[in-house]
Amino acid sequence: MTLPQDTRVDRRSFLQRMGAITAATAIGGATFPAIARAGPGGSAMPMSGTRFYEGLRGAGLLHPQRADPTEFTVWEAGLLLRSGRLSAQELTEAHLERIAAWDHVYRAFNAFLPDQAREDARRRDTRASGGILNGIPFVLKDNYFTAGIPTTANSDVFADFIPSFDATAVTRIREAGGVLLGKTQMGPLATTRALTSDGEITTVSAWAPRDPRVNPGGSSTGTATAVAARMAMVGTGTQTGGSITGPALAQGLTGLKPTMGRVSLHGVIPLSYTRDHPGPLARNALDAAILLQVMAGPDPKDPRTIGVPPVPDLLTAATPVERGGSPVLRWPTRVGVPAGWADGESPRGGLRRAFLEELRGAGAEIVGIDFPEAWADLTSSWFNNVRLVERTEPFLEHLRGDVRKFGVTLSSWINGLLLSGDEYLKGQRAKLALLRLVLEEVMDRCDVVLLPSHVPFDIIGLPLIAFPIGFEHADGMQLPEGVILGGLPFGEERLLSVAAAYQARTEWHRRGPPDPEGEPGRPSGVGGGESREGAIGRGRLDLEAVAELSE
Amino acid sequence: MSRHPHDPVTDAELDAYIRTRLAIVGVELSVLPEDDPAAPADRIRIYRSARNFLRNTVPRISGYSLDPQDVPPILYPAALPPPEDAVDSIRGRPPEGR
Repeated sequence: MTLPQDTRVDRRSFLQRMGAITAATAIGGATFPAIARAGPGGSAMPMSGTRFYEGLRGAGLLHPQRADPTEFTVWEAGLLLRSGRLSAQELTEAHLERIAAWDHVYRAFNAFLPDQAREDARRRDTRASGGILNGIPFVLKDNYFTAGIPTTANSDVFADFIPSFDATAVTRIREAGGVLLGKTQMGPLATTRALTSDGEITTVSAWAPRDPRVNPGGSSTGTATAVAARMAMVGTGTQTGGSITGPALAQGLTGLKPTMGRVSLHGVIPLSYTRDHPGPLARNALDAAILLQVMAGPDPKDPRTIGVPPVPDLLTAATPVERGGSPVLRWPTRVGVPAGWADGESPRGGLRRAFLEELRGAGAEIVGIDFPEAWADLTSSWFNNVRLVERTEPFLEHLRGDVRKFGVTLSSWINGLLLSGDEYLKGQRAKLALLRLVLEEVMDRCDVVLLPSHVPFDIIGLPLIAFPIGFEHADGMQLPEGVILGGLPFGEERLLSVAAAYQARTEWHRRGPPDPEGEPGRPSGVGGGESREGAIGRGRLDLEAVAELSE
Repeated sequence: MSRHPHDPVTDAELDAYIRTRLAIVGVELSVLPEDDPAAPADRIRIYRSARNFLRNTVPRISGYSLDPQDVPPILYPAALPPPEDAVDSIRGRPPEGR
């Protein structure tokens, strides 16, 4: 059995390398400890779509039967496309029809690109095999550069910005055969849920389309709503402070925030140089693995991706395995559970206990975790505020130009000018102290840990996965409930394997929201032919409310 | 009149600090309305937020003690020069420019 990559990452060397970076920069180079030990496995994943889909057939995952192509998962559609039982044009058209029918309600799209998508799909149909995403309709959060297509980050700051090149991750998805349907709504400059600069709520949850008070998650809202509402099969998000895991939890999706350095940030509008992470939002672990497998890897244009362990075989990690006819964990795995995490008589407590039982049934060892004493200070909101400096620095020219372009998000950009250098430096040191705490006093007892929130793993660059475990009922609505699992450095395989085993044993991830009540209409984004007419009035968030939600 | 280090900082002192800091780096808030709750941002709310930030976040970070011999700062988890052949071996193809 090939072990996952997290077993070969030496924690002490990882920490030493973290500490060596500044000194090495000052002296012009140094010998870094290798963070990945030599050992079996860890080879690069073959990117051949043909080989992957042949493997699925070999594992008994055969052509599904569904009337509506938008109900297929990525891997299901991939199987059908390769067998000639579905065309990229049919698949794309089905998604375009849903966008046309329902995006006036969801407002998930910032730019709707039907003509380009149809042309892409036509070309994909002419390829015998193509990449692993050949013919798969996808969406991009609007902070990923797209050559010749506006990239606004939903902010007046980038209102007229049209990049001349694709982000590295976008290039890779296109080269793998993806069909771009459009760019999705987001919080202005990725700071909060999807809003206009003046605070108007745009995108709603696919599970509560008529109630904009229901938070659809963080700034990757548009992608999450598009995927949950079957207006796209899969999409990209970015996470600085919960913006992949948050929308995944809110909308019943599987969201994976990789380890810092796993995916290039070249061509992504920055929010924080040390905390931004591109990653997938999908309907299940295998779909998330497929997109991450394509997006990940070293990029000479992003030094954060260089020198890290090679991208492992995420697809195998996310493919369920069985023992005795029952899905089980691919690798022996200790799951850390913080004290009190599954306590209480609330519906959430019950769902969490049921989740743990399911993991036990899959072979997991459940381990109790007590967070160390320094945890509260090091994960506090005041240390987290150190990120504001990093936000402000790349946008200083825009702040000098006209602060009004920042609209309801302005406070955090101004506050980022008010920390001194020594305080910023202490914040960076505190991150290392926190990383050490996590690796030496939490992850020493487990391979993955259940977390009450995305903090602190996205602060310190460690991987996270979020996925659904049931539903809660509130105000007459059925809303998804999920969990966040944190992993060791470069532990994406392990996280995917746990989610995949759980999903092979349960059905929660297969539940999708019903279509909205009311008449189908036309899309709201650019290129849809109808701008905001007919959109539901959904209220505004003011400066203080945005600050509360700020990522 | 000099102030004692432990005297609470007043709103007026903080406002002067904020105004001066913004002036030094060339950020101008005068384009915002003074007091307009209906506007996306106004000066009253921006200054209130900044004062809260200075009163709550700054002293806590500043007052937190870390051993100077411990935890040197980090910038990125992966800020390394490319190791020989790393890109080639991972992607199974030569890197750009080769």
